[in-house]
Amino acid sequence: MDVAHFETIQLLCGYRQNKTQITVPKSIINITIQKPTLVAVIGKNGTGKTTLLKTLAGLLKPLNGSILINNKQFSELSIKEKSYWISFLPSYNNKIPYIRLNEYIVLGRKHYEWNHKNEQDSLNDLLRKVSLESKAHLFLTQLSDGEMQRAAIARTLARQTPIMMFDEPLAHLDPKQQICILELFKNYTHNLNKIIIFSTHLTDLILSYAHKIWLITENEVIDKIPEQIIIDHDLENNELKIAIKPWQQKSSHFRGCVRLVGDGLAYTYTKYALHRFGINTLCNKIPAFSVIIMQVSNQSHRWLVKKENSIIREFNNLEKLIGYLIDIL
Amino acid sequence: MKHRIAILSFFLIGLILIDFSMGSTYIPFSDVFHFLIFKLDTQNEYYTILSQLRLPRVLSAIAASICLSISGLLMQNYFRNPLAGPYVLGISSGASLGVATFILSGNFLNNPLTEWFIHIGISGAAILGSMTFLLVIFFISLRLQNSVSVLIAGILLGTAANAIISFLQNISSGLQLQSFVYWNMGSLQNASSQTSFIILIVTIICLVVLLKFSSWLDLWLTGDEQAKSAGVSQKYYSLLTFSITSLLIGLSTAFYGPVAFVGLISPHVARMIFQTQIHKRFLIYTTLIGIFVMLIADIILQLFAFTNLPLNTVISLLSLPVLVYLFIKKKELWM
Repeated sequence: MDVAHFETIQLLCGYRQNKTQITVPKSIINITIQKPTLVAVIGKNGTGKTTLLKTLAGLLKPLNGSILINNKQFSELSIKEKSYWISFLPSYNNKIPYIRLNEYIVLGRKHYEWNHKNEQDSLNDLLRKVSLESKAHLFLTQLSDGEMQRAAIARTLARQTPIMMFDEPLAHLDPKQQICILELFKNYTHNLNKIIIFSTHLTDLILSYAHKIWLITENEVIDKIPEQIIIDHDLENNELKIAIKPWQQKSSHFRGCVRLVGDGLAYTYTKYALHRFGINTLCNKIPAFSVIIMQVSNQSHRWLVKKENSIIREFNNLEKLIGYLIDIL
Repeated sequence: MKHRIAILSFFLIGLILIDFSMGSTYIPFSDVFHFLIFKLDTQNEYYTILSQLRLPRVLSAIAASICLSISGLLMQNYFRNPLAGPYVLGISSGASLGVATFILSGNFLNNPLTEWFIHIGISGAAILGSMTFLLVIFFISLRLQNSVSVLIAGILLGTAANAIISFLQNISSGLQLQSFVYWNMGSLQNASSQTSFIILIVTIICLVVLLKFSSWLDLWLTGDEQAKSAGVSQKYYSLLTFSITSLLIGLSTAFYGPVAFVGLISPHVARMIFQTQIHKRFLIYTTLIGIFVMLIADIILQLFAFTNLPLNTVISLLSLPVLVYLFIKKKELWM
């Protein structure tokens, strides 16, 4: 089965609650995907990323409008038929007790078609792709949250449905694994002709991986390629990219003053740290103590405390230096 | 894993033999062997005891334990909660209420009705009671969507049922009261071999059906959304588990009384020993452990045959330490 055409027409998602409708995302959604694509859904908390994914996956009934797969009404299919087309991974996956990782990946596989030639090979292959091959025989409860997340992703990929949806698949993952999973997704779209739609908050990272971005804002769903998003400053306009506050935080009053000698990164951040703890480095009169930063090797530094041309203490740790300075000043 | 099943089966056969030989009269193993495998001479002094008393009792123990352990497993699977079980969720109390209403409000015991009518009446009332309570809990669970609240609701329902039962006991006659109280204590000695055999066949059919749908049970553990996305319809899954649970609990409660805790602890012990929840195997393991627990309880009961100890007393005393041990020592048991 291949998807040639995935389309939403006048789709309105949301919940019904005591006869009132709560629409999230707020706007009508008209989206068309015609070829294998990696789509990233981004947006602020509560704008409806999860609701949109669940509706597209057929887990929630749309409030209005329709979803078409190969020009067929998706909502008219039975739950079992839907499961042949779309798989969905929720953002939270509990670690089922007394189930091993290799059992979990193929759990319930009798129920849907497991269309791999050799079960054991494809299982090992999947585990290797999410770098969990050494943990195949562990119980899920023995995995960390990040490992469990990868296991759940592998389980969804194992189903090989034409369309796969992931709600926050990159949560709990370390930076290296985030990139691994994105590469894997890209691989599945390129080599296996899958449509993959996932939501995330890692807006900077996914710009260079996703083919398409769906940005959900308060009043519309922006559907653009990543380059267009950057050119149009959409992330900044929708508060998805926030400028980081500068490091320097000057203490309002200083307890004392030292002369700081050094250069480079070590100098800059020693200065910031001293300022943060109320020790000034820009003095009006000649200070009694001076701190000299010495580079010992490429990665290690030493801080020497000098009083009247003689070294009185030596530190290899900034925190201890500051503790000492606070005592003597 | 295979040797554990071998050991367990070995123990089970041993326990069945012991259970046959235990009772107010001790019967040597050789006679039990002859009775079970070859034809024992009908003139043998033990033949009547074995065929009229011991066989129904052992069959009852096996049938009751399979009913209870399977329904315990289904409830724990459905609610994804280790505390769920027919007794805790108040389903057994529902069946008791049905039977209490039938025995205590009607005047059937004095009527010259056939024994079969009373049997059918009691089992019908029990199945109706357990089904009603299961449905109520099911609808509560749809609204609450939080397994702890569902358990609390189940306990409250059970308490309410017990309150109504004590009210009915208050207004009923001595004879009715006596027969209800005996039924309520749980007993493996009231049902005939034929009844237990029929129940056994029903449970085995249910087990086969469940094995056929074992992937649903597996997928259900992954969560509502994952299960639905994998093609398991909540409607059909609920229909499957709820109909089988109410049928089994209704049947076992009708003929063996509200037997406590076997449904709750069998899946736990099976999980701990066999370390799996793949239901194709887990269903079988739970059933075997259920039979094991019930046979041990019955053997202990027979050791104190002279005291007329109720079955529920023995099972509660036996399972409470096991449960407490499981919940303290095996914290990773569920979460």
